[in-house]
Amino acid sequence: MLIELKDIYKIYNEDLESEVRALSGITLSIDHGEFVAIVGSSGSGKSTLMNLLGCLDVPTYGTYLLDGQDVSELTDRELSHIRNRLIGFIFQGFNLIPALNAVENVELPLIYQGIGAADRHERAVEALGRVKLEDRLNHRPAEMSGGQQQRVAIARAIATHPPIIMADEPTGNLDSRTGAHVLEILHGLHADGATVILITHDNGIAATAGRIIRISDGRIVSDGRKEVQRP
Amino acid sequence: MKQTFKMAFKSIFSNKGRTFLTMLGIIIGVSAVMILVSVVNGFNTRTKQYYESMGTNRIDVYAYSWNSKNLSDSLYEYCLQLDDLVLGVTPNLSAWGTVRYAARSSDSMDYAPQIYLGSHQYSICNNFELAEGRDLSYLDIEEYNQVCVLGARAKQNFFNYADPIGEEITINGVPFTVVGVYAEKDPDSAWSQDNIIVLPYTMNRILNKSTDMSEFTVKAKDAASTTEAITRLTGFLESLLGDNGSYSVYSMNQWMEQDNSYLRIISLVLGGIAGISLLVGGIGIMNIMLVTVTERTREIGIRKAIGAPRRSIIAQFLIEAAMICLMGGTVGILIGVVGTLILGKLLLQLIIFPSATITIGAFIFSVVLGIIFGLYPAIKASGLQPVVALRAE
Repeated sequence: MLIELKDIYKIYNEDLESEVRALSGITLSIDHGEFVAIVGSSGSGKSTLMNLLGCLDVPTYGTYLLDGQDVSELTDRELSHIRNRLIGFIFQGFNLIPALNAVENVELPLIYQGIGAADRHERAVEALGRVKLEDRLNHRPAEMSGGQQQRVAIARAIATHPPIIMADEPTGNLDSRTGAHVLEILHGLHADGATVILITHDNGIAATAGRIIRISDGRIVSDGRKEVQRP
Repeated sequence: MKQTFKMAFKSIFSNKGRTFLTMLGIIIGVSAVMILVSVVNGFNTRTKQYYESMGTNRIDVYAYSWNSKNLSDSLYEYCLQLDDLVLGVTPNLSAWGTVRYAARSSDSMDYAPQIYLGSHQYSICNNFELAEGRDLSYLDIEEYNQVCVLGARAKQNFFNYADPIGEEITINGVPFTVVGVYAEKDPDSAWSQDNIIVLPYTMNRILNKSTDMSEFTVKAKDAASTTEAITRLTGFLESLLGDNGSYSVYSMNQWMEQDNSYLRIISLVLGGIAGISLLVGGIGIMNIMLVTVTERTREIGIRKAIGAPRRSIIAQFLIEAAMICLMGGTVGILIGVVGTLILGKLLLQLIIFPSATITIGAFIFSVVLGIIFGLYPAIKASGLQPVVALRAE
């Protein structure tokens, strides 16, 4: 099993009046090569779940095994290593560094892998080519449209060829045509063998996934492979 | 490591506004402190030079009697009797008049020479050394010789580079033969101690129509003799004059001490101002660094999310802050040196260089401050969960 969550809780302001249970008792496993859509309304806890899966946050209670390793026992260095090598994370808000141009943004994770300048540049350009941005290499985020920025973010996530791609509402800020293109890219990565985990509130997008997990009030309300099989 | 340097460089040059503002704080802090402290030091040096050229252990005696006409002679004699304590005694008289040599006249000069009358020990008492010819002699005094010695600047004004020895000048029409020239002791100032003409004091009766001498200068052997001579002279004048006159006995040492205490106060005040400007510069650095915390927190969140370990983030920010501060500090030092040179020349007619201690001190202070506050967001944000850092607005 690639990902195993056992009875995960994420509680903010615990034991205070303002206590919020973003996740209450999530148990879930995801295998290599799956294409999973996590669906829920806003405030359902799906983003919190995604952040835990991407090792960007830690659960209050529960165990998270990633590739058999208990994430809570890892050091900062080991966690950085996982975020860098195993996971490509695509944010809803793109999260590009404004002072850097497209190539430099895509090169960042490769820098932290210690890859040499020439090799790095080549791989960054190749990744930008896969999202059809060959002609925007030296543009800064502010000089690009939302769809272009999202594609730079995707290129950054796939430049390291990570086995897991996680995307938090990747089409949320995009028009439907650009959104469809982004979805196409994710399916392409899945076809190449990556495990893809996708968050969305759009049932149409979820329907293209091989497995749909529905979340409400911090709990899984349904998890099915059959329901998604469409002609 | 090379990558970390490159990343820091990129960050510095792609945020020119922020980089410039941070550097500005450091530049102002370093250069202001350097300039202020250096100018004060230069002023101190200037004052010390002045006193040294005037000579230390010099006592000025002034006495005036309401009824006794013989005061000048008895005072002069008493001064001469202090020979175990003194090196020289001279009456200290001055005269006003037009000085002419050939076609040149003091009336058409910007700075007319001062005319002094003294004894053959005038040069000892006033710290002059002879450059050419001979000094006034005892015989010149006794025999009412119409001779004079010129200060270096007076010689320059009247004779330029020609040899003045044996030439004749006139003061209010009275002829005097130049017998010697004193060496220059105050080259920087136009209104200088070198722009003088010294005559035998017996010429007083011709130039001032008087034989009264109420001022004397006594040159004592050392600081202790100065104190002793002042005590004796005061005692003598007290017993001589009682309530029938006024007198004062004053040494340059006392003036110097008084001036030194003024200088100390000025140094303290300006040093305080310099300290404040360093502080303001420091606060500037701090502010701009803190203002960018949010922006940088988000950047750090992004870097962590894509796999930057804490160590490499801190290293990047450390290098970035250090480079900005070093550049700012270097520019600050350059401006400080140039500013000190310009102000020193304008205000004090001196070439002054900033003191190394102050320069290094101000540099280190600014750089350390810049690094601390440049590193602060990195240390704080890199310890957060990436998702928390990403949430910074």
